[in-house]
Amino acid sequence: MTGILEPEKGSVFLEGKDLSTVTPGQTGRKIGYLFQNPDLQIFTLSVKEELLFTHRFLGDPSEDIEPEVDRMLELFHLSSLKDQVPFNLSRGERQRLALAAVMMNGPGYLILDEPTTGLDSIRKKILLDILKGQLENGTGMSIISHDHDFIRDLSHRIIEIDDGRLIEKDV
Amino acid sequence: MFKRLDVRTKIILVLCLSTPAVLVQDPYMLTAVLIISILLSIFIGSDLKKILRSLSRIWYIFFTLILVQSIFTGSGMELLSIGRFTILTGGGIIKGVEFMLRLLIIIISATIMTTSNQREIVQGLNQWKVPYEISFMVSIAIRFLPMLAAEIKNTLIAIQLRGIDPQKLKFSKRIKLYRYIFSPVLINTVKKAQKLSVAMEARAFRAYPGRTSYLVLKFARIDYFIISISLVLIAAILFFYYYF
Repeated sequence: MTGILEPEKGSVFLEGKDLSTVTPGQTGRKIGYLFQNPDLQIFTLSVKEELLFTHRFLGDPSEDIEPEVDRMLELFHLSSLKDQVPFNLSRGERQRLALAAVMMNGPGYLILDEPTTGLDSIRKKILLDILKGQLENGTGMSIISHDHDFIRDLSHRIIEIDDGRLIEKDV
Repeated sequence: MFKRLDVRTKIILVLCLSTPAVLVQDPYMLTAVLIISILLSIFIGSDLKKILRSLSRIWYIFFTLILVQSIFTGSGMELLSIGRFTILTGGGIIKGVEFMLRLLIIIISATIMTTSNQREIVQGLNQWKVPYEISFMVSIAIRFLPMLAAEIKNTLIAIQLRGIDPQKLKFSKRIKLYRYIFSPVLINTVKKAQKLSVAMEARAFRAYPGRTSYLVLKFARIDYFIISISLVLIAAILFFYYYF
């Protein structure tokens, strides 16, 4: 769905464009993708710098984006950690940072791969509230997860894979 | 027959192929060694197609290397110059081609080693009385290299999925961007190494020199034959190269 893998058959369209003709960079501006392992998508040596990463390369002046960075730090409970080295944070904190960094692009759609892996119940609740907030703001999302309770609280549609078959469940 | 060669025979073969690649400075001789490397690699059963496909993706690096080599080796007939600055010379191109041939021989001969598994390579080194610490390090390096390559690829995809198109960035920014690939890869590698060492210690692993092994390698007749032929051939090649 993000164009990382090519479909074996059929096509995936994003806003009318076949994904195979679009670069991952173009997809990334419209779809936010959270990897199962957040370490793969943390590139900088401070939490705040991580949130500024994309904008720095796309040429947005830092001053204009500062209020948005502060809002994201607040929303994802990362304000007290803004000067920390991301690689020293806990798994849950890194997960939230990776999601916050993805959200900095203002994507209209999110794809989250096992977002609750390694999170305790409190952190799960925080993530659940954040995602519910995003849904209310009109951001669409697909979540790949084994965590049935987490999924049930967020979903409008659940598709299970059982023994290689797709089973659609009403919510 | 060739596919069941002992891993130690393969190591000797690789050494015999890569030694002339480093010592010989004759493009015809290097071409001959490259052809032998390709044939041996195919006979021994390495996936040469896959490796050549990967190499074709970095052809521009080869091209740049030839060009740089050529620029800094100003000998022979001048072919291209800007003002008083000579860019390409006949001698420079020959040096560049030699350099590419060397690189290809080393890469293609190394593919022979990919036909043995990691366990066999460690056992081969052990039976050659290489200290276990070293053979173990080799085995870990072999195990981690593909993971490292996958991690670099994934990190680049992750950067692109943040909305950045490296191809559309200015050259200076692109170089800066590539620098960001290495911090997560390096940190994750150190973390993995730490986890691995803790896991090994937890299982009471120690690199003691006295070890018993389920897998014991034994040379067959074909191994002795190939080793003898290889050593005689390499000695002959170097003898003719230096004395005639």
